[in-house]
Amino acid sequence: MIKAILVFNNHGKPRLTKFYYHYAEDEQQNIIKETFQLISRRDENICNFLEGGSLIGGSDFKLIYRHYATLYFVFCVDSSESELGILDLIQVFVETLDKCFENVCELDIIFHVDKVHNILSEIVMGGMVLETNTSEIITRIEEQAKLEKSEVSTPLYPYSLFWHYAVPYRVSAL
Amino acid sequence: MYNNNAYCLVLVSISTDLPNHTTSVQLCVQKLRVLIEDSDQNLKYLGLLAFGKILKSHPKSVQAHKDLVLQCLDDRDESIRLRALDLLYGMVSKKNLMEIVRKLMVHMEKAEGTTYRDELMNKVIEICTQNNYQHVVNFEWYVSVLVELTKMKDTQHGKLLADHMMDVAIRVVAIRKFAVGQMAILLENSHLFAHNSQRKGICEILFAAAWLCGEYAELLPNALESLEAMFKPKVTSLPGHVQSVFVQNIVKLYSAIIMKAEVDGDEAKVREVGQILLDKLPMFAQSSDLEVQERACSALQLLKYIHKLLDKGVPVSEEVSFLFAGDLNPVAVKAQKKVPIPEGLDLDQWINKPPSKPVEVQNKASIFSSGKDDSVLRGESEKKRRKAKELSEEELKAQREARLQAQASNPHYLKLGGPSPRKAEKAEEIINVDDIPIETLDIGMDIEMSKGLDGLASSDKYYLEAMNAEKSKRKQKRKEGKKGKKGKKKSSAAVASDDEITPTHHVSSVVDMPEGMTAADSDNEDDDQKDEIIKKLDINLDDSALDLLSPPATSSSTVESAAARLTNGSNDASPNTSKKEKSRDKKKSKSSKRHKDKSLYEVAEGVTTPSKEHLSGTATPTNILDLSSLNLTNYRKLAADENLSMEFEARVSMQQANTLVVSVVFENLNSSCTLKSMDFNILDSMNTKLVRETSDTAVKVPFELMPLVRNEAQFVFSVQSLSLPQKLKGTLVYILKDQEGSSQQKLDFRLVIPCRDFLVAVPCSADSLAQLLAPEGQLTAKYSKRLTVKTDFKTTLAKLSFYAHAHVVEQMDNTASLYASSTQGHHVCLLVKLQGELLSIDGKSSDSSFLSNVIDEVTELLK
Repeated sequence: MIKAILVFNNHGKPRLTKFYYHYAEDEQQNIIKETFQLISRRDENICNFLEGGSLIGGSDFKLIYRHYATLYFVFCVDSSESELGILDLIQVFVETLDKCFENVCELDIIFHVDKVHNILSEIVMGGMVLETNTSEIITRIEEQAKLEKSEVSTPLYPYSLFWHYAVPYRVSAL
Repeated sequence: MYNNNAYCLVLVSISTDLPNHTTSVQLCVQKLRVLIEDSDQNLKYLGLLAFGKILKSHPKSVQAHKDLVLQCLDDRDESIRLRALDLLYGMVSKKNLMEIVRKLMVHMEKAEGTTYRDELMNKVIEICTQNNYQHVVNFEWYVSVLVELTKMKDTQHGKLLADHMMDVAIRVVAIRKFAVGQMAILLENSHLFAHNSQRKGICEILFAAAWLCGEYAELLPNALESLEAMFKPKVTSLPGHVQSVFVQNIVKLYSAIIMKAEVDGDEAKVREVGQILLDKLPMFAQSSDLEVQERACSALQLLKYIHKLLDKGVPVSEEVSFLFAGDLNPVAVKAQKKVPIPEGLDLDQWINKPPSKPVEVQNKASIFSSGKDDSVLRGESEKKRRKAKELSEEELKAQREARLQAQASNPHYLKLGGPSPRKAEKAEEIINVDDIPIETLDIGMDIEMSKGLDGLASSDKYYLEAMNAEKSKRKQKRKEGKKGKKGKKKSSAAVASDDEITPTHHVSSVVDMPEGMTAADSDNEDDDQKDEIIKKLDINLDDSALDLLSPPATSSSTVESAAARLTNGSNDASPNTSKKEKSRDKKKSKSSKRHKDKSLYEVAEGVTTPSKEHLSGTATPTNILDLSSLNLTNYRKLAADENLSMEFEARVSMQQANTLVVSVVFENLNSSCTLKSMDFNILDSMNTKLVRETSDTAVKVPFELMPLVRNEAQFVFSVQSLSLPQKLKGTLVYILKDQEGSSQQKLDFRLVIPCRDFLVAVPCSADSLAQLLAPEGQLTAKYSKRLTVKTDFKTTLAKLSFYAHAHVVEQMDNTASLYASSTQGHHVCLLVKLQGELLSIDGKSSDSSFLSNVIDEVTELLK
């Protein structure tokens, strides 16, 4: 099970934080700080696996991370997850972001936080991995975007008309 | 590359479950060795992890790769070292134990971070005590290792060290004298430990030191000195349980000393020692810890009694020594359980009779109601209840509907998604001063400790001795070999196997148990139960693991390019501010050029001076080249005929939310005529009105234009809503005067003020932008546009920020985020990206029509 997913930049600013286990707000901030301190110390050619810090559960949990340019993507997992599998998952996540945002960079993640969260929910939900196939995920995200657009573009129609139009479309999309 | 190795790992996990397939295990181990030797750190880590798993079931096969593991111990990667450490306990043997421990101690000194150091110390002790000290050859060396470990600062394992020290001293009889000697030295230097008086800290070692000195006092080199060492004033700062041990052992030492003194016939010494105790024990009697107080008081009383007897001339020492007679052995873990239940005792019997069940109340109704008349009453009441129920259901519905309607019509009712409650929470957060941890700084002590206390044995000494002994053995055997056979007897064959090395000291395994019981039988019930439960949870996910580890769909090339594309941040704030200044400077310089004749510029009705607020800020003349080379201007053509041309610019300021100043430049195109009494009139719309004395009167332009002269005038408008561009019709009536005469002319124009002119480049930090963009924020409107541009990103960004009057918050290579605020407080956040020739602009704002208009206008200008 994945306990938390953190994305922060080279200065320790969190860009995306998702906890799949309940922590109070200040605890979350402390965890982010501690994880940043542990990970920023790591050299470039060192392995990507780390024992969790004391706040996040100590040696029962592993931190698996990847460093891309200005961002660190960190997954905190317990012993049931395979290290290589999670590494691959991080890769899938970043690739999906890249496909959705074209040339994704830190500013994209700041600007489209909601979209990034949506993409992440397609991949991991409740600490469990749902989908690892990039094209599948992107198909779903594009469907979502289509739905959003169709809702925005028909504001003037009376509600009943819209409903009749939208229902068969939604059913087919599912 | 990862895939092959993933299969290896699967192999490993299978092999651990099949204990008889030694060949497959061997194969796995071989493959894993390849993994570990790989230069990729991740693979090394995984290889070591797998080794660890195999070690549990097939230790022998892993042991063959000892050298590799020891090599990994020196790796600079901490995670790999930790994994290698885990493997260590299977790798040690009598031969290499000293070497390994030495290596680990060297690591300990170099290690940063106390958790790693603690881990190392744990390991050292674990591998040494493994299997009842199976591998420790020289116990003197081990004791010296323990003593050296006490030099470590900030450790949580002080208790562990103390326990082990005592364990060794108690169970290895031969080493007691040496150990006690070392402990005495530690005691004399107790002040070095006393400053770190946390529980479990290194001061725990004094617990062991005092206890051992007291228990084996006859082995002490100088008992009196040790006694006095226990009385040092700093001792009172130690934790309570340590102090209480001190007190107890002071008395033990005393008994040993007076025993010896009486044998020597030294009466005076007996009294002297007793006097010392009497003087110094009150120090402990005043302690705040109860146990210490109690022991000290009892000891004091005992002493007083002893002195009374001594005064009478009775030799007392032998009786005192009876107080501490007998050997203390360690108590077995299961001792309590093994206490046999005496006959006739049944632990399952009730001690007292269980309480009887309470008498049930059969007819509750009868207590409260009168009896037969009930039926009628009951019926009525039931009806009433039924009616009440039905009514309440209908009522509920009606009430709910009424409530919903009231809510819908009530303008003050806050629907879901009001202003974030988080802000309120933050305001209430009070920093609790007590929670700030206070750390004691260890300054200067390091130097003292590292010098080494005099007399403390160094473990290196034993190591070197052992190495030398081995070398000499090897030389001897080689000589013999050469004599015996033709040269090539390798030294490895000559190296003695583990079994030949005999330990120098014997470890006793005597433990205290209730009589007649042994530790072995029916021990493992509890453990077995726990194991079973854990085994049931052990779901084998290994078949699905193959699916997870299947090769990813994308090829490696896209992976790399994706990684490379997360471009590096050239994230500096200074070019942003300089760009903002550039755009402002440009405006200022342009408008000042047009002011040819400032003296004619009079303040008249409806005309205001341009407010300077939005032009404030230090003008940093850095790199003005860019914008000036682009020749960007916000002045647009308003109208023109053969005599007159008008250009205008719209200006806003944050301070005046609903005001717009239109600055119009009038130019006389005529070379001979003068333009006089120009009247500027605008047809007001519902939204925008020209500010003038009375509505519909024209505003007089306060100057005359000589031939080929330009001048500028401002007109103030009041604007209500900014969502749509303002389109106004207007007329300029002027008198054309030449030598012949004057004629009145009229010039109609259409004044269009786009939405973007209402934006002001308010500086915004990256943090506040990120907060604004947070999902729960107010920026609900989204709009995007894509277009092709020919220019490079820098120019495009400069143009965009100029036209949109936006402040560039962050820029990274070909991406930038911008922020602008309208005079009425609408936030506009833009994300601009250039990929080749395609420029994409994404916008977020609180007002959707405003946003879409702004973006459309800007893209028009950029084309």
